Amino acid sequence: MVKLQRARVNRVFFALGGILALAGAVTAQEPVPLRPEIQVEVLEDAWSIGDEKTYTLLFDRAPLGRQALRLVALRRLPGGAEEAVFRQRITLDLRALGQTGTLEHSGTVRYRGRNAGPYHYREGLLTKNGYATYRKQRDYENLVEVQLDPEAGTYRIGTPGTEEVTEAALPASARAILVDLLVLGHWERVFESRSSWPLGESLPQSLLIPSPLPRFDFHLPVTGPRAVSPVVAETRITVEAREPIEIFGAQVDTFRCRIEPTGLVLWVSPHGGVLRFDDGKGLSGSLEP
Amino acid sequence: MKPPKLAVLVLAGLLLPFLIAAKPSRTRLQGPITDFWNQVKREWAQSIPGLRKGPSQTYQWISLVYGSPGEDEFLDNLLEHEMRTWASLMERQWIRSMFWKKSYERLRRDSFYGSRALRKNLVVMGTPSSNPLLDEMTQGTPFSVDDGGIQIGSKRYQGTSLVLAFIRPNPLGENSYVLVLAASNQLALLSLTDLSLGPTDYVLFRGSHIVESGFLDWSDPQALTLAGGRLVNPDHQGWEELATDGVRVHYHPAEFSRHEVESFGEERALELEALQKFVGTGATVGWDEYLYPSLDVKMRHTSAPDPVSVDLAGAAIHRVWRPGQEVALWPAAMLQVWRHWGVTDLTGLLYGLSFLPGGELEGQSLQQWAGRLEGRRELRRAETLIPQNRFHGEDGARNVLQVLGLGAFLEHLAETRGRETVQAFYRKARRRNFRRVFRDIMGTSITRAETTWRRGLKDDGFQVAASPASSTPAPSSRVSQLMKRGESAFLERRDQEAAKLLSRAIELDPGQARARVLLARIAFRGDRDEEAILQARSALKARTEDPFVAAWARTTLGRALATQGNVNGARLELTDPAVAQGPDSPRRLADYWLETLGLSPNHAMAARYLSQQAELDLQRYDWDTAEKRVLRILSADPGNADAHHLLARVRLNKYRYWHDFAMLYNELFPGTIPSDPQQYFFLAQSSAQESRKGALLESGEYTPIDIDLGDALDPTPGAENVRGPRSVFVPRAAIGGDQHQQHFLRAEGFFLARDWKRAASNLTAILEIGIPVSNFRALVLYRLALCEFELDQPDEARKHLEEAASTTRDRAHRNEMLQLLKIQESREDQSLRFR
Repeated sequence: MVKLQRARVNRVFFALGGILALAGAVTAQEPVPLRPEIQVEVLEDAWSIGDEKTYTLLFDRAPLGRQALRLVALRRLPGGAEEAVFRQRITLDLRALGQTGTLEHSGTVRYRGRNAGPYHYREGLLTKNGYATYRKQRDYENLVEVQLDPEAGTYRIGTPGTEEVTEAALPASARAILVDLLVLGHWERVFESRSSWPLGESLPQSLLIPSPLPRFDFHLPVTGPRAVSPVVAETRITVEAREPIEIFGAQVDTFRCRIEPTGLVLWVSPHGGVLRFDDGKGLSGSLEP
Repeated sequence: MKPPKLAVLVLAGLLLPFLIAAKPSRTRLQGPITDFWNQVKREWAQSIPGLRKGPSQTYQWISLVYGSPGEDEFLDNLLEHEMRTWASLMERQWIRSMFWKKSYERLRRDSFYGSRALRKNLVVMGTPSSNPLLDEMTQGTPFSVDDGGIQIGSKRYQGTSLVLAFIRPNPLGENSYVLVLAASNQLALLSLTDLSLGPTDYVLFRGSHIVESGFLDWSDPQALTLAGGRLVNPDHQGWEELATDGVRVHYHPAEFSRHEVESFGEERALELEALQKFVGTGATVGWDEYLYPSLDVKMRHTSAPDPVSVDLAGAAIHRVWRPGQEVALWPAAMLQVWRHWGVTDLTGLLYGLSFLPGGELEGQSLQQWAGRLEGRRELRRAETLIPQNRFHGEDGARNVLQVLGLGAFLEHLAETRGRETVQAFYRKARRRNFRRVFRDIMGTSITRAETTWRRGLKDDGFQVAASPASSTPAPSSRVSQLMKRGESAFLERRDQEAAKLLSRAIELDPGQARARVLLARIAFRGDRDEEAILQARSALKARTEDPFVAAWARTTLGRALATQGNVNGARLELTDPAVAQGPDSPRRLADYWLETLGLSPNHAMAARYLSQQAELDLQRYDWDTAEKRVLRILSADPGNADAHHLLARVRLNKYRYWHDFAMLYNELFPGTIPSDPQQYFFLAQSSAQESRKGALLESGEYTPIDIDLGDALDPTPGAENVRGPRSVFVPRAAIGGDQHQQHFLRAEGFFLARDWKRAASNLTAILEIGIPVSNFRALVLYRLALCEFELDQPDEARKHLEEAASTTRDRAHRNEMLQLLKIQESREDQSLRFR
């Protein structure tokens, strides 16, 4: 049986990817030969502070946007626990959907040990395309600020600059792993959570999803940030096949994984990092070499 | 002359030797290439103050020594033109410079001027055979150049399109630099203005691709060696070569099988035969073909974004190719015409001629192209016979479109008057006025011949006819039902089901253009480009009035052609009037595709390319284009810190140029209406703003939204890092010149972000570069002192504050600093903050 298995986890947050190995695999001319026993080699120094992993997002083969995840701090908390702080940003150019404006997202996700700590992000729609040096806040339409705290079991949604705040309790999520479906870097935590991912088998996985995967299309106008409605989804992850793919001209060997019921397909490297995804509705993304 | 003025002059004359002797003995020269102009400015600043302003001011001389002319007059003219264009752009780096340009031969003859010129800051360019000075300039360096290639350290690069640029201390003069641009072949220097010299001490180009760059160890200026950190971007490593009859095919064995390459080579050998007939000069010399599986791979090796690019100096064609794909003939024809008919300044005509052997481009004949262009009234622009200077490089595709009409016109001439007549016209047009030659040979004027030809053109580009609506029969209810269900499935992205339903609708009613266009869109999003093209063309042939159909058909056709690498065809479809007059969605989509056309969808690759081109535009003083390119990067990714810094540099450069220009204007024409040197100050402000943004983004504490809102979303508390200090990557501030300002702007950004350590580091870097202007030096020292107070280094801070006070010539500033020192003395608290 071919298994995806974790070799060593000294610090959980070091297990978030193997991005350096991934980047090397993508840029290399020669395809990496797969061993019969596939292992997710969790490299202790996989993420260094300042490392950034970026994806190009496409919609119907047009560049829709870009997302980036960057490790900005590794800290020791007062109680002795360790924390990894990641900054993330997404920019979607809605002209690729035949619309106008830009959807921008920036946030911070913290991982404390095995668990996700507070997840905090801002998301807003810019009504005009393009970049301006002196941009004012009023250009954002429906800017929202979201704070999820899985440890405290609460979340709050607010609008910067106003007093409007909505607070509520998160659904019970003892085993759930936080995954923002639009942030590909979060999936690495999911694949790191098990010691093996047998090829051809379907395994259950509980996910804490802050908002459903947005549906983009030419006839579906994007009017603002994504709706926030945290749920704990019981998903099944199937490692369907071993499959070589081409990422921007480079041949890479991957495992194709299907996430049901979201309909997402992820191509994951033997090191556990997401190389490509496809939502089956026109949205796809690839790791930038 | 009045006695007091005479006395001043005499006194000045007596003091002059002492003043010169009192100058600092040796300025520290340490590169990189961009420090060349800083050194020119430093030398100017060290001239006698009285001669630094006013109409009689001293300018700073720089000499450019280029290769002596050879035997090919046309090539020499072209080289000299390119060199002078390059030099005219370079001399704008410092408005008070005088750029003397002489060939080596002329310099040698003029020993009086030559001996002086060689002691100045020098630019030496050419090949070893055309400029013997190169030999002297490479001595004591790790470089050597010969006719076959260029050696850097122990690594040798072979090729005829290599250009090496490096900076070194002038071995013939003190305190001056030599900027060397050496090529193994003269043809390589024809792309001089396409080379971005960048932030390193040396850089090696193949075409416009940077093969290697790095720094030199300047500890012994007489024997420079390579420093660590060489950046090598090897091109075509591990590639194999297959030689067929005259064509050498280069490929990577992991991408193409030998069998595929062999059949490709055989096809090219047949092409060679056809070209031999076309050129009519007997034995035709072969060429090199480089095959790439994708645009991304090609860009990695060549830095050229077009699916096909021609390296004239290296006699090579670089193509994105997939087995079975048709290959355009014009690049090979261009090489042959270039070689056999010689180098010419009628480049446009040369390119137009290169279309003749194949008679088509991207699957359409030249006459079809001309018909389409004429139908849109764009032919006149496209057929211009005026030679263009830039027919290659980053805007190659657009220029090919410009000469398409010309190619079609020449084809028409070749058919009606014979190919020999066209050849004769071309040969004679090189030496005389081409319009007159045309009249002599063809017996009529160009204008008349073009008008006659244009009248005979037909546009069969599937124009949507304005047929009366009543002539289209209403679809049956069965077809309507199928269409409704098909469209619904299409919108839900149930593509297989939608395709079935729409195909059945077409079976029942073959005139269903709407169904065809939806099928085209389904095929396109399913990566089936050929099918998408067929369906879109069928939809257009149905000649419906529905603007939805026309716009989406053109947009889908354009997108499919673009993904196949047919950039010209894609551009033609996406700019079709039916798209512009159609619904919003396909119009916006078409505009967006036009903006990203010719670039890889890979954002990182596109950003790298745009950034490199923006650097080049900045070097060419084309600020607007440079800014547009950077804004494109930032539009896709506002978190790109490097792009923010680049934008800052573009605006700063523009500001500084006009500021210097206004200053000089006021000095030269004191009686006229003065120009306000600060009228472009808004550029300096936005430059500072961009630089701050770059620094904040680099710090990792801020994201673009945070900067817009003015606060960090979730600042990382200052707890102890597990692995010591943060190692956030900060690129070199010195990229591309203007180092003082770059470091200063960065320091301001870090100052704002309260990152005292990095602010101090940037300020220290400015002091290490050496600053001739005392007020600026004082300001830097003052800021550094503030940072050092914040870093609890009161002794250092005091030292720098005292030095600043003694350096500044601004009395108010000096008083302020002395005041601060007094306050500091009066307080015991060493952590006092001066802000």
